Order: sequence, then structure tokens, then C-alpha cells
Amino acid sequence: MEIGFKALHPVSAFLFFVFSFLVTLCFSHPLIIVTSLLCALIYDIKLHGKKSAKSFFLFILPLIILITAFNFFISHYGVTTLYEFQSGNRLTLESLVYGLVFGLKASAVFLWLNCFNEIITADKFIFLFGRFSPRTALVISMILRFIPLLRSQSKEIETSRKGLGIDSKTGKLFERLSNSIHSISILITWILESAIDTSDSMSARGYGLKGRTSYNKYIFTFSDGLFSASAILIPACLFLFRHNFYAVYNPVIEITPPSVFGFIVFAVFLIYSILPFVYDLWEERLWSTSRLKI
Amino acid sequence: MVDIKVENLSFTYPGGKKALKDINFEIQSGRFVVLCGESASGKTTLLRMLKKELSPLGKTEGNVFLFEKERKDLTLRESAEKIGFLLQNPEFQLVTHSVQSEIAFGLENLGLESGEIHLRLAEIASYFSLSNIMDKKISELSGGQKQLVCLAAVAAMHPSVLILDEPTSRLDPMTSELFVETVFRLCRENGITVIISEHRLENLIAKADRVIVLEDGKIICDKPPQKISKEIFSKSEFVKASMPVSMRLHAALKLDGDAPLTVSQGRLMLSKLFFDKKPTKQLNLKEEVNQNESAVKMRNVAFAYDKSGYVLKSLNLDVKKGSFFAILGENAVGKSTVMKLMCGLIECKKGTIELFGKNIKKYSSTELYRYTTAYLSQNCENLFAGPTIREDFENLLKSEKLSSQERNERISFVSEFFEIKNLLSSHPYDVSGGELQRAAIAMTMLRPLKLLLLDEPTKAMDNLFKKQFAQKIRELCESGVTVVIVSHDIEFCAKYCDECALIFDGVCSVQKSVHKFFSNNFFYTTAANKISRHIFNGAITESEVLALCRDNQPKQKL
Amino acid sequence: MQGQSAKTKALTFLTFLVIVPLSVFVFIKFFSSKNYLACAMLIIILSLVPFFAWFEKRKIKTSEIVTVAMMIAVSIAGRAAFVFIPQVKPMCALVIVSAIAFGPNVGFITGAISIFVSNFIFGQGIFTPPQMLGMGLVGFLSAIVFYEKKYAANRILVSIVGGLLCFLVYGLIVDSCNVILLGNYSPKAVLAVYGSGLSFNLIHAGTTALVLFFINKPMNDKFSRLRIKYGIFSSKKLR
Repeated sequence: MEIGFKALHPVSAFLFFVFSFLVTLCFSHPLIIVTSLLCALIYDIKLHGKKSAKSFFLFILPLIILITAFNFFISHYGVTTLYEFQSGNRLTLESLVYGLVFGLKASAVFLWLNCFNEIITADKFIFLFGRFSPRTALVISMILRFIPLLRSQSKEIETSRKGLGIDSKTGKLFERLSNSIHSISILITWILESAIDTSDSMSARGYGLKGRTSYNKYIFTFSDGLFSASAILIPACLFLFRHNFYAVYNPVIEITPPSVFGFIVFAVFLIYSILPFVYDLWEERLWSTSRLKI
Repeated sequence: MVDIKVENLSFTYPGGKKALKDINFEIQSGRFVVLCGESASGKTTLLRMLKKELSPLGKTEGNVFLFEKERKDLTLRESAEKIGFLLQNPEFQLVTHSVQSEIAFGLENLGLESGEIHLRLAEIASYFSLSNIMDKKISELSGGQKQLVCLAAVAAMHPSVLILDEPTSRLDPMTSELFVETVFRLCRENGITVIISEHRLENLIAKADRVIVLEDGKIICDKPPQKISKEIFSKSEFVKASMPVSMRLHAALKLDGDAPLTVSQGRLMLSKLFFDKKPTKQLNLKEEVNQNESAVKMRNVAFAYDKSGYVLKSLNLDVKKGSFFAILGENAVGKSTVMKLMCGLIECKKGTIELFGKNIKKYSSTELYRYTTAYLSQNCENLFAGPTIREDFENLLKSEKLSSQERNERISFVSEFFEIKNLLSSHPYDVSGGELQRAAIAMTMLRPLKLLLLDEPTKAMDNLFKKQFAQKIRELCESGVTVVIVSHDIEFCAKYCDECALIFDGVCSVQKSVHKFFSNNFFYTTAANKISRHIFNGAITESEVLALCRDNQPKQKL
Repeated sequence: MQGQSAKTKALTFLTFLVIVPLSVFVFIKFFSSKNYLACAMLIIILSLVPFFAWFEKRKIKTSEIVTVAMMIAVSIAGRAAFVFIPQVKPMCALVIVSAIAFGPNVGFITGAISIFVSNFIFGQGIFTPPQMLGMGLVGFLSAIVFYEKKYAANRILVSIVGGLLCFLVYGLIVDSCNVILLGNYSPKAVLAVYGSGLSFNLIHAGTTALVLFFINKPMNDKFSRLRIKYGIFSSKKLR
């Protein structure tokens, strides 16, 4: 079993991510975007370590630069001219800033998605899906069962066919393609012919009876309750007082400087975004000491 | 209490095929019943008639009573809950991706609350010792574990009756013994009625309270195993071939009394026969040495899949041309690796392998796979896509530029040799496992090959089919083809192979003629040898023991 | 969408005629600045809802559910068979042949879940919903054209139409989301994005057509066998 954010109830974790995405997508105020980006980055590094840093430099940074540059060179709105081409096209500060903010926004979403993929495992997703579409949840679970099965069978088919000199590595390109397609045809026959076995096994165990329940192995604890409540209330606050975080970039850059009240709301949002990271650290500390006392 | 009662049951498939004819029996609660019979004798149909949801469509006459209710009055819910059904292939019975959700699946269908399901999971995990795999994905389990999870998933529903349709046909002997042991425990400790159909009967018969033998849709025997008499043996080829060796000896020697079911009982039987005199005649062994040149010569071959360690350290092996050669050994000692090296599926990086006097590295892949050797893996479905076996044959020959007449000639030649002419227009999945195996071998022999490598060919065959299969292989060997098999099946190798090699710890610990090999071993040997060792020297097959018994006791009209 | 119950039909109408415009309106009202990305995502996710609601409520045989799950698994794992020709991604082709056998609605589900689960394995991205919609529509439309039609056996026709759908529908939807992601809607920018996606889309559509050409007949054989032997997806009036 896991500890920290991973051990939370899927509903609370899911709510947290959904509202993080929503806030990041809906607000354009630099304060919000940068906070969201940094918090996502910190948590991503906590979860993935070196891999995360690598993907930041190889993927996220280029993405920000690409989006910024794309906007900068292609859009020509705005009032502050930085450079004017002979054709009359201008490079403007507004389009540069807008592109940058947009790039940061997209990267923040990507980073949150990285964390999402780590936290919301297949099991949790199937549980969430099962709440409102049990059949789809079951189908997804079955697919996840069949994929590894197909992969190993696919390998075996290749070995068997290599033993007869008809695998996808021998021959010219066309022959290889045709061999590959034959392999996949064998694979499909193999699995489809077993469809009836699987459905027999399902009906033998009573699938299709009225009143199917779905097993819930997750326990909704007090901390889950706190998490869910804050995952809803804090973004709601942010949306309610959104006028404190007003920002437009076209045709003129207009960013509301937050008031004192705005700062309070922002501080709450900051705490909210950094929560997964802090919670993980706190739990790790909590449980690392318990063995020592025994 | 009678759990199952079948009265005058007959069943006809829509096509007009009569699968069951006038079946009568009843099974008391808590019994362990073994159902056996040749493939297509109606075993599966009969078992499915006992499970409402899986009953085939067709014309049914007679009655089936389950828990003293007529079958049609049993609700689907009752049937799902009280009758557990396990099919052959664990891979496709598992529905979900994790062990936990798999076991919960049936309970969810019954509409149990989460708390109740949690309790059942805990119960099942401790009974089947599944706690350490409970959190795993199904794809991380071994074959034996998968079948165990299937059983656990059914057992979690608290069934009164457990029906198993050849549950171990995909498992190796050791694992399948463990599995049967678990089922037996369910029966004895929890009073669950068990009906199990199997083709590998040697270890099962001794456990059974009753054995029901089906032949051609009729019950020809329904008795406790000790009481299966010589009359039944003489009536049915299947019984003659499939019962444990001790029982077969008992019947063939026409002895009276209860049949011995186990090796120890068999030894006792022989001891009684020869208690006052030592046998005068012993087995006269003539060692025929195959003088042919080598088909495969492996010298100091070493192999490792990755840097984690050697699979083979220094292997030496000689397979003579035209011989039927068996490679034996435990699971995961590298038997299949040896085979894959032999046909170049994996590269030999240390040591030399010669095929027919030529280093394997000097063969081009076309020369190797189209004209020299073929490797058939355990699952021969791997080669068939359908819609007919003939089309798959033609597909293989596509790469060779043959005229359509030549192609047809080759196909009709091999199909005649392997007696599969009638299967050519069938879908590959409509024929039995043994037949498909034969079709697969026929397929490889569409090209003029010299060396045939078979991985566990007898896995899905009953003893009767093995006999026919071995005959075909022998014919093939006589025509000059060398056949090498990897097998767990000691009895099969002892009966039909020429030579065998035992792989252990990365080397070939011994390579001998089959006879010498098995007669010297103590544990790793045939049941016939174990039964007769204290009386006769070096008899390894049932027929040898039988002949010796007759030779030594002419007076008793044996 | 024939064969739907009145409830799901009502739901479909409700989503498309009321909920979608309403939510877009609310969005624009609340955030007068241009939040196309959030808006587009909302519309896309909502448009997936009626299909899944239909799938949930429909009476469908157990063996059919299993078959759908299996074909989706094949469309994801099928890549392994083509490792040596990395440009070939058979998912789209396999979704199309399955959809032709399953009918439009199940075809949509097949496409959408294929993308969803494959992204599950390779990591969900921001494009998951539009990709789901795109692949779902490819399945839906190919079934509209070919489901239970005689000319479904014509492999040239199937591969041409399949390739076109893959190029036009899937490519267009995913590229449009690229446009929205980059956040620039001047004609020049839009053209640049579509242009840069062109080569990828062409290869994708071409290989899809090629795989379809080869696999159409064997797949037809396999499905018609299932239809005859087990009665899977055989009834005409269902979908």
C-alpha cells in the first residue's frame, strides 16, 4: 500500500486534479499561471525525480519557447512595436507576452497531467468510471487484461513463425509487411475464438444478473474529506473573486494588480496548489519515525 | 443428500449429432467424481448440461435435477451461486486485470455489498494463500497461479458443487498435481461436491470416490476406481490406455480383488505374486546402437539471455540422424533454449552447433528454415489464422514459387501421410488439440525438412491419442527425418523415444538410450519401473513388466 | 442513430441542443477573454457523453462486450506485430474494420476507448478528449458507410474510404486542437499548423489504407464466422 497523496481516495485526488486543470485553463493572470506551473513542477519532480527534470529541459522548455516564438512571429496585434519589417508586419510586445503566458499555461497543464498519470492509476480510474458507467469500467478492465496477453502471444507467434522462416524480419519489405499482417491475423483469430470462453466464464459467475454492485476497496477518511472540500471550495473562491485576477493582452496588456484581498485569495490558492507536495512530505516524515519508537 | 441427479438424459445438437445417449447417474453431496473419456465422447456436453447458463442449444430429452429441483426451475442466480464451473484455459477465464477485481467479479454480479465482498476476499486469500499475489496484475502471474485464481474466484461465491472441465490441460505435471490437490482439499475439508473431467488420469484416479467413463455419449462405467474390472478394460480401448499403470497390470494379469490405484499398492501386488520365489527370467536387453551420422552436434555450447546469468554453461549433445530424441528436465532449466539454439532462433555465441555436419552459422536463413529444420512451439494455434487449414497451408507455400499443381501435390501428400485429409477444409479452431498438433506438424513438413523440433507435443493429448501420434512420428523417423522433442512426459518418452538427455544446471548431465536412462533412475522414472523395480531389473514400460510376469509364472495362466 | 431508446435519444438532444450551448454561454459570460481551449474541451467531453450513456444502457450480449473489449485490445497491442515497420500504426485500421462489423454506435465506442486506454498506457495527454472524439467519429462514420452493406467486402473501397476518414476526420480534429493549444487564430497561423501536421497525417492515412487493404478480407471471414457460430453481432435491427 502507498502513503501520501497516492493513498488518498480516488475521488479526492481526481477532484484536485480536475480543478487544477480548470483553474490553469481558465485564468490568464500571470500570478496564477506561474504559481500553478511551479507547483506542478515541484510535485512532478517529487514524483518522478530525475526523469522529470529531463523532460522539463527536453520537452517543457522547448514547448514554452515554441509557443512564444510562434505567437511572436505570426501575430501582429498590439500597440507596443518592438521591430517593424519592411513589409509592414510588426513584432509587438503584446504578442510576445501573450505567447509566453500561453506557453506557460500549456506547460502547467502538461506537468499536472504528468502527476495525474502517476497518481490516478488504472485501478483508481476504473473505480471512478465504475460509479457512473459500470459497463465501460468493466470493458476497460478487460482491455487492460487482454493487452499484456496479446503482447506475449504476439511474441510467441513471431517466434513460431520465425521457426518456419515466415516472420516479420525475413524477406523484402513487402514480404515483411505481408508476414506482419498475417501474424496479426493469427493473433486476432486466436483471441476472437476465445471470446466465447471468456463470456462463458462471465455468465457462469452470474454476469448479467440484476442488481450488480461494484466493489469499493477505497475508504473515505477524514483527510479525504478535507481534501475534497478544499479541492472544491478554494477554486470556487478563485472563480468567485476572479475580478482580482483579470488579465488581457490584446490589444493592450492589462493586468490587474491584486488588492490586499486578492493577495489573501492568492495565498490560499498557493497553499492549495502546493498541497500534494506538502502532504507527501508530511506523511513521509510521519511514518519514517514510527519504527524508531518501537 | 443428492446434489445432482440425471435421468435418461439424451442430447442432440442442432446439426443432428447425438452427443449424449440415455445418461443416468446421481451424485451425493461431498463426493469427488472423475469423468473421463476420449475427446469428443461427450464429456464437455454432459458437464455443461449441469450448468444452466452454459448449456448448449439443441434437443434435450430426460431430466436433470440439481439440489432436488428440476433444472428449469433453478433460477439463474441459484445456478451462478451454487454451481461453480471452471473451463480449460485459465487465460480466457480471467476477465479483469487484477487478482483482486477478478475474485470480486462474481461477488459483484451476485450483488453483494462492499463490506461482504471484502470479507470474502480476506477469507479466500487466507484459504488459498493468495495474500502475496492479491495486489498483483493478472499478467504478472504464472500459469499455475492463474488457474488457482480462477478456482479462488469461483470458490469465493461459496458454491455447493464445483464442475471442472479439463482444468489442468494447459499446466505442466507438477503444477497440475498441486492444483488437483487444492481441489481435492476443497472437497474433503469443505464438503463441496466435485466433478472433474481430465485426460491425465494417473494421479487423479486414486483420489476419486467414483469414476464415470463416457464413450460415444454413453456411460460405460460408473464405479469406485478399485472396482473397475477387467471386463471394462477389455471393453474399452480408452480405459485400457488411460488408467494408472498399476490398474492396467492388475487387469492384464487377470487378478481378482480390488485394483491397486497407486505405485505402492502396485508394488504390493507384485510382491504378493512373487512372494515365495525370485523370478528366474530377467529382461534381456539388446542395446541397438544407432550408427548413423549426427544430425545435431553441440559442443561446449553456452548461452545467456542477458547478463543476469548463464542458462547453459557447457552443453554437449549428439542427436543421430533418423532418431526420435527427447530432452528432459525440470521447468526453466533451459530445455526450450537448447531447442531454439538448435534451429538458430537464438544465436549460439559460445561453442559450436553443427547441423548435418555443417556449422549452423553458415546456413542462410532461407536454407535453414525452408529446407533444413522447423521448430514447433507448444501452442500450435500460433500458426493458424483460418478460415481453413488448407488456406494456412497454402499461405506457407506462398513464399516458395511453386505452380499451383505442385502446391496441391505437396498438400495432398502430407495430409495423406498424417491422415488429416478430412481436416483440411475445417477451421483450425474446430478440430481437437491433438488433431491441430498433427496438422501443424504436417504444415512444417510441407517443405522437405530434415530436422523437426517439437516443444511439449503431448501436452493436450490423452493416452490413446499419444499412441497414434507416436506411430506417426516413428514413421517419420523411418523416412529419415530426425525428431527432437522437449517433454515433461516421462511415460511417453520411455515408451516411444530412442534416446534422451537430461538437462540440469546448464549442462547435459546424461545422454543415454531411453532404457538405460530410466532403469538407472530412482525418482525420475516411469511408474512401471517404480512398481517392478524390486522384482525385475530394468523394466521401464508396462508391456515389459507384463511380459516378465507372464514368463516367470506360466503355471498360473497369466 | 437508429435503435436508441427514447431516453438516450432525449439525452443526446439535451446535450447537443441545450447543455453545450448553455455551458459555452456561461463560459463566455464568465470569462470575457478568449478561453477557446477550455471551451473546446468542454464541448468535446460533453459530446462523448451520449455515446457512453447509450453504451451503458443498451442491451448487449456478454459475448459481444467481450468481443468489443478484445478488438480494442488488439487495436492497441497490434503495434507489436509491426515493430519492424515503425511508421505503421494499425489502430485506426483495426478500429475501422471492427466498427464495420459492430455498427456505428459500438464503432464510436471502440474508437474512443481505444484511444483512451492506449493513452492510459502511454500517459494521458491534453489531447485525449479530442483524439477520442476523432477516432470515435472515424469508427462511427465508417460504420455508417459500410455496416451491413454488400460493398463492405470491396477492399479497395474500404481502404480508400478508411484512409480518407483517417485523414479528414481524425487529422482535422486533432490538428484543430493543436491550433487552439497554440492560441493563435490568424489565418496564417492556422494554415501553418495544419501544414505542419500534413505529412504526419498523410503517412497515417496511407498506412491505414494499406493495412485495411490487406486485413479487410481476413477480418470479414473472422467476424462472419463469429456471427454464424455464436450469433455475435448478428441482428440487423439492434444498432
